[in-house]
Amino acid sequence: MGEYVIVTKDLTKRFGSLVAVNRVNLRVRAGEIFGLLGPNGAGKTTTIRMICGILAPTNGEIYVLGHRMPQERRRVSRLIGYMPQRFSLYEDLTVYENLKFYAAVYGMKGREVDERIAEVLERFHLMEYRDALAGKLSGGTKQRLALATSLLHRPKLLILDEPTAGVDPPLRRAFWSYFKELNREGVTILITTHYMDEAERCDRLALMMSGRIVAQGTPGEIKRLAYGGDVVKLLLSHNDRSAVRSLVTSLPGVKEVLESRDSGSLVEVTVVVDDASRDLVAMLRELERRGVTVHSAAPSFVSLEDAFIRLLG
Amino acid sequence: MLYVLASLVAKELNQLRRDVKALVMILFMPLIVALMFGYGYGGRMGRLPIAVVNLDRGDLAWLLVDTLRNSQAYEVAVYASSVEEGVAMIREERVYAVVVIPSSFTERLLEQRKVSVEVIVDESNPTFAEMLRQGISYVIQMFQDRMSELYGTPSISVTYATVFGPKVSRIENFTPVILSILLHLVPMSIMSVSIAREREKGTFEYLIVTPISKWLLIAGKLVAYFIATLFDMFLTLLVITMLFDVHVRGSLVALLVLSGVFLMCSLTIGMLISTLSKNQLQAHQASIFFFIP
Repeated sequence: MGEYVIVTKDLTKRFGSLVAVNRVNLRVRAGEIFGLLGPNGAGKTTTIRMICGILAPTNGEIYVLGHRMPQERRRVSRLIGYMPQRFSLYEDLTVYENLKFYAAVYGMKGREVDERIAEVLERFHLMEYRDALAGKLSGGTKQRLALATSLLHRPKLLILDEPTAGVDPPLRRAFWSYFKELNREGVTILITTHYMDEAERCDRLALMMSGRIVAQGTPGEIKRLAYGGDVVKLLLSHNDRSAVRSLVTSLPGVKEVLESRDSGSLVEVTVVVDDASRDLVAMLRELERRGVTVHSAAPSFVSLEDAFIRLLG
Repeated sequence: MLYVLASLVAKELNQLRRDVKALVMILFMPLIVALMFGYGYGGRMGRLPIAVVNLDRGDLAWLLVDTLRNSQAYEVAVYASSVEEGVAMIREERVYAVVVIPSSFTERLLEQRKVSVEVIVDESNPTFAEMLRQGISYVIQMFQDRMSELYGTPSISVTYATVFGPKVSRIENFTPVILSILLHLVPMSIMSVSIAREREKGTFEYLIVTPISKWLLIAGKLVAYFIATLFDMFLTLLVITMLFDVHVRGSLVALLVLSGVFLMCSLTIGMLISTLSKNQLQAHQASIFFFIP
C-alpha cells in the first residue's frame, strides 16, 4: 500500500436516513494532486472529514499514510495538513498568535517556532499582517493564513476543502501556483473544488454525485469515459452538405456524432471514435473514397465540464 | 506537554483579553454589585448605637452607665425615659439595643440583694445582636466585679429580650454573597460559552485535526479561566475591604483555598454546560438557569 497515501474501502456515512457518502473507494497516490469534484451536497466535505478523522465512518475503512483512521488519528494528525472549508482560526487572535499557538500544538519549541513562523509568513506574503487580528483580514488573506497554518508542521499530505471558494481569480491562480510548488516539493494534495479549470490541473480526479464516486482517473481518462472514446473534430467538404452527417455516422469506428455545423464553405463535424490512434487513418480513407474531402482532422478539446455534464446527465 | 498547556492558557487569556463582553462581565459585574450594595447598605459603620433606660437614678446606676460608655463595641447614643421609648427607638432603627437599669438598682445592690439588668437587642441583625449581647454582658460582669470589691457579693443577673427592628442588611453580610456570585456565576458563564464558541465559530474543526488531546484542551481552558476569576476575586475583595472597611475574619488562606475549590466546581459545571450546548446563546442561558436556584 506504500504508493497510496489515502485508501478508502467502501467508505459509507449515514446521517439518519440520509446516506451522505455511499461505498466510496478512493486511492490517492503519493506525490499527486488529487481532485475531488462534484456538485454541492455530493458528499465531498463529509468524505474529507472522515479522512481527517473528524467524523467516524458508519461503514468501511480508511487508511491514511498507512495508518487506520480514525483509530490512529493522533499519529496521523502530525503528518497531514488540513484546511477546512470555513475559516477555522481564531478571529480574536492576531496572525502571529494563531501561528504561534498552532506551532506549539504541533510540538514546536523555542527558536524553531519563530523561525518556522517567519518562513511561512514570508512564503505566503503575510509579513505585513503579522500583528493584525485574523478576524479583520480580507477573505483572500484569511485563506492564505489558513494555508500557512496548515503547513506549519511540514505535512506530507495536504487536504484542502474548497480552498478557492469565494477567492478572486488572481488569488486563485496564486493559490494554484502554491499548490503546484508544494506538490513539486513532494507534498501529496487532496483538494475538493467545483471549479472545472482547477479540476483540469489535477493529476487525477474523482467525480462524486449524491454520495457516490461516478468516475475516477486522470482528466483525460474521465473525458474518454464520458464520451466512450476519443473526440475528433473533422473539417470536411462535400457537394451535398446535408449528406455529410449521415455519411460520417455510417463510418466504421465512429460511435457518435456530437455536433455537425457549417463553417464557411466547409462542414465541421465532431465525432467520438473508439480509439483515434487505431481508427482515424482508416476512417479518413473511407471518407475520401465516398467523395468527401477531408481538410483537417484533429483531436478536439473537450472541457471537463462537458464531460461531467455528460456523465451526470 | 507543559509547553502546549501554557500555549493553550496564553491563547485563552489573549482571547479573553480581546472579548470586551466577557471582560465587562468578569471585571465589572462583581465590582458594580459590590459598589451598589456597598453604598446602598454600607452607610452607618463604626460603633453600634445603643440606648440606656435608667429607671433608678441612684449613684450606682450612674456608675453602671459610665462603665457602659467605656466600651469600644458600641456607644451609648441616647437615654430613654422608659422601656417603651427604648423599644420604639429600636423599631425606628436608631439603636440596636436598649439596656434597662431597674428602679431600686442602687438600693438593692447596697443591700446585697439580687438585681437584674434587662438587655433588649435587635434580633433583625443576628451578627450585631450577638456582638452586643457579648459586649454588654462583659461590661456588666466587670461592673459586678467592682461592686463585689466595694460592697461584698452582690448578684447582677442579665436578662435578655429580643425585639425585631426593620430588616437592615449590611455590606459585611453582602460580601460573601457578592463573592459567591463572583465565584459561581462568572466562571460558570464564561466557561460555558468557551467551548460553545469554538464550536460555533468553527475553530473546533481545525483543532480536532491537530495532535492536541482533548484532556489538554480542557485543562488549558480550566487553568486560564481559573487564573482570570481568581484575579477577579482578589480585585473585588480588595475593593470591598478598601472602600467599605470590610474585614476578613478568620484565615485568608482558608478563604482562598476554599474559594479555589468552589471556583473549580463552577468551572467544571460551566464546562459541562458548554459541551452540551450547541451555541453560545444556549450556553449562556443554561448557565443562568443553573445559577438561579
